[in-house]
Amino acid sequence: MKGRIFNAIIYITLFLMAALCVFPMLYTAINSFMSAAEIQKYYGSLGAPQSNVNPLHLIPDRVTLAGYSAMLLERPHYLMKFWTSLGLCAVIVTGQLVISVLGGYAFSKFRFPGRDVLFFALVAIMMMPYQVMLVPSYMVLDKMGLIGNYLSLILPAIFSAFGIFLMHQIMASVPDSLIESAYIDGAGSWRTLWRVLLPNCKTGLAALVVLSFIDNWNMVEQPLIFLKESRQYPLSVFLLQVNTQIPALGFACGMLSMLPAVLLFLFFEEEMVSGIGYSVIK
Amino acid sequence: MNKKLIVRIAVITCAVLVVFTFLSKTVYGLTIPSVSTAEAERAFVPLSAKATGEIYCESAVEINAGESWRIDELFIKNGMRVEAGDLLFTLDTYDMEMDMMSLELDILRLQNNLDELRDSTNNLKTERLTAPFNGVLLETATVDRKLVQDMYVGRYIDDSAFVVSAAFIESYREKIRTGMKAQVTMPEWMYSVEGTVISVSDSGYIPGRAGVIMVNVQIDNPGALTENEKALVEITAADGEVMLATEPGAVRFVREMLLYAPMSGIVSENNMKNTARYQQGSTLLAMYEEAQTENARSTQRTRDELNIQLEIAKKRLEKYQYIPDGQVFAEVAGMISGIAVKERDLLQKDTILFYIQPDDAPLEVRFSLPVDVGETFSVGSQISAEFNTIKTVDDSTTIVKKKSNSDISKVTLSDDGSVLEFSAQLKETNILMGGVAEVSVSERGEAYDITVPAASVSDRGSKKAVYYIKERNGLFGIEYYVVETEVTVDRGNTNLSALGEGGITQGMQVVTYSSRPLIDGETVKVKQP
Repeated sequence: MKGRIFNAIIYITLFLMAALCVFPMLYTAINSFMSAAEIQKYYGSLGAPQSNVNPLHLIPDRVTLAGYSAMLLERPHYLMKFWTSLGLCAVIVTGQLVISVLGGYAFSKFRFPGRDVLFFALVAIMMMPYQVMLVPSYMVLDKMGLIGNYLSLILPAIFSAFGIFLMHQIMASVPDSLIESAYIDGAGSWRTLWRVLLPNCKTGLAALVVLSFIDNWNMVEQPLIFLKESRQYPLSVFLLQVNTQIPALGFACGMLSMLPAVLLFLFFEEEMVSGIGYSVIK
Repeated sequence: MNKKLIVRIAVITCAVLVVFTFLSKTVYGLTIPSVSTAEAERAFVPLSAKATGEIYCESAVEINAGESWRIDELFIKNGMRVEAGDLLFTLDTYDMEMDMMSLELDILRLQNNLDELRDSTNNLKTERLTAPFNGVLLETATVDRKLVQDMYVGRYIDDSAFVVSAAFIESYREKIRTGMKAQVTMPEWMYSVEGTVISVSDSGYIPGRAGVIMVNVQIDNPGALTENEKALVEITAADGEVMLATEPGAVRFVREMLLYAPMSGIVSENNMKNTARYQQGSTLLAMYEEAQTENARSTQRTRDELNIQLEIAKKRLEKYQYIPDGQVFAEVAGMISGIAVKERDLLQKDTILFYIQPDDAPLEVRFSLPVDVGETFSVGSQISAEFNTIKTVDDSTTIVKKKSNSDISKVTLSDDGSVLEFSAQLKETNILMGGVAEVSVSERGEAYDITVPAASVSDRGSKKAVYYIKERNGLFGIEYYVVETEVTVDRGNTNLSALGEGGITQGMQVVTYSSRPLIDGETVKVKQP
């Protein structure tokens, strides 16, 4: 009996927490099928003093695809920003994969002077808020003449401390005996990495891909600071602005911006869960 | 979830999004308006207007028909040059001579009739009322055609002097003599003038006023005196005693006479006018006895009618005092223009036949423009006029079109205020007066700081507005959008408009054309030139 009550409490708590997590998505999805007039009617005076507007308008007065039509057909700019973000993320994720694999391999399987110090520094950098690194990053990029260029977003993101740390943790879990066996069989470092380590680190790689993609798909501060022209901004910045300037378009844009991340998560769901869990446990 | 399914979903989603990307680009390109722009800059805004004018010659000599003549032969034509003394035309005088003879006969007949009648009416009595002295007719009564004897007709005064009658005590009788000086004082004004005693009446003169004598004092220089003023009289006796009148006397004119009709009868002459001044002896009124019998009255009426007819006939005959001998010659040298008659025409009195434009007489072109168009132009504005000129080669004249430039010399507003009338001197002289001129007026004016193409100014009810382009960082990058601003147009022609102080400054790009009506703040595509 006590066990059932306890389970019930657990389930209820979990349900509430899940609902809390899912609710914003549900809210966005429902509102994306409302017309601009309805959104303006219910949310237009949000923030105004003594507003009698109900901000949680969950049932549309009239279901319409006007938001999606406006986003997909009336202007090509949203879709152009979508492809810009997708391209940026693809480049960053690929680069991060390469750098993180190599870095994690080096830190986990090689002994060299200062390895621990460097790794400690890496972890310390990883712990620091990104805002702390913004000003030095800006100065370096400015000296390199990359301000206003997409490389100002790509290069810092590629050399991510978290990716290296994650791959280090994943690769460290691979037994050294496997590595030694490969060496004994005559494999070199690269072959060992490619043929022995990476196949054993698929979960970690998947997790890194998803996490990196999500992190860079949602980046806002870096484009605002490192890019000069608004036409260069990725979708994440656009969503930030459209939610304040054109709320009617915000919900529909939000729905479609979720799509790549959701699809990626679903594709790598299994690997990601096990990979995150693995890194946490380790 | 099956990875293959997820891959398929992802591929299909990407394909759909790619299709939508191209589709939306097309739709967007079709819906966003495209505009052409021009820069607001400093420039001149010349104004011009066209009008049809007429050539005038102020000093042209007007040849008109003094009376109603008939032209016999015309020896001139438009553009022809004549010298002083040249024969211009001849008149048909036959009708005039016949008319003159008829009038003379009428006059003779009327005079004979009057002479016969005169004898029968000469015995009627007549009387005249004349001015008794130099003076002024102060009052006149209504004078009808018939008056009865002694009927009051007016009041006549001599305003050359005033008289004051003052009463003194009888004891002063021995001391007051005519010719003595007297001081006449108006107590209200403290105004004093000098007079002369002209008469002294005996005591008891005024009934009921025994013990007083009346002294009349004449004032030759009355100054500001007026009739009926009250004045005190003071006389200084020979022994130095100052004698005062017992009471103020009234000021009156030195002479006054009431006028009456001299007889009963018909008024034949009435010269009486209120406040008119007359000389002594001039006729104020003339009358004659009314005829007592019917025959006499009838004769009188006939006589009156005949007198009137005689006057009319004499007046008609007067015009023939100026009858020409049938030939009309030029009095000045010049060019003939504006011929309005032809041979055998019967002219009306004072009809203008033609003009002679003296050599070197200045010519001007006159034209008018509506006030709202013409108010831009003023004295000094340039004009270009196209008109016909006379070209004489070997005694043959041809019409040649010519263009001349000049400046406006005079501008006046028409009486009704709706039209401005302009005139400009022409340098040419061989132009027919009255000819039509096609005039083009232009005014360059000053340079304006802000001028835009006229196509960029649009009407917003009673006001005017201009769209200009601005850049902004839109959600989708740099985009151009239009801003509507109200403007005032200081001056404009078909190409340019000069704007007053307002929302447009130099260098701004204003919209001159758009593919569809614009909305303030709308995003647009700017066509590159």
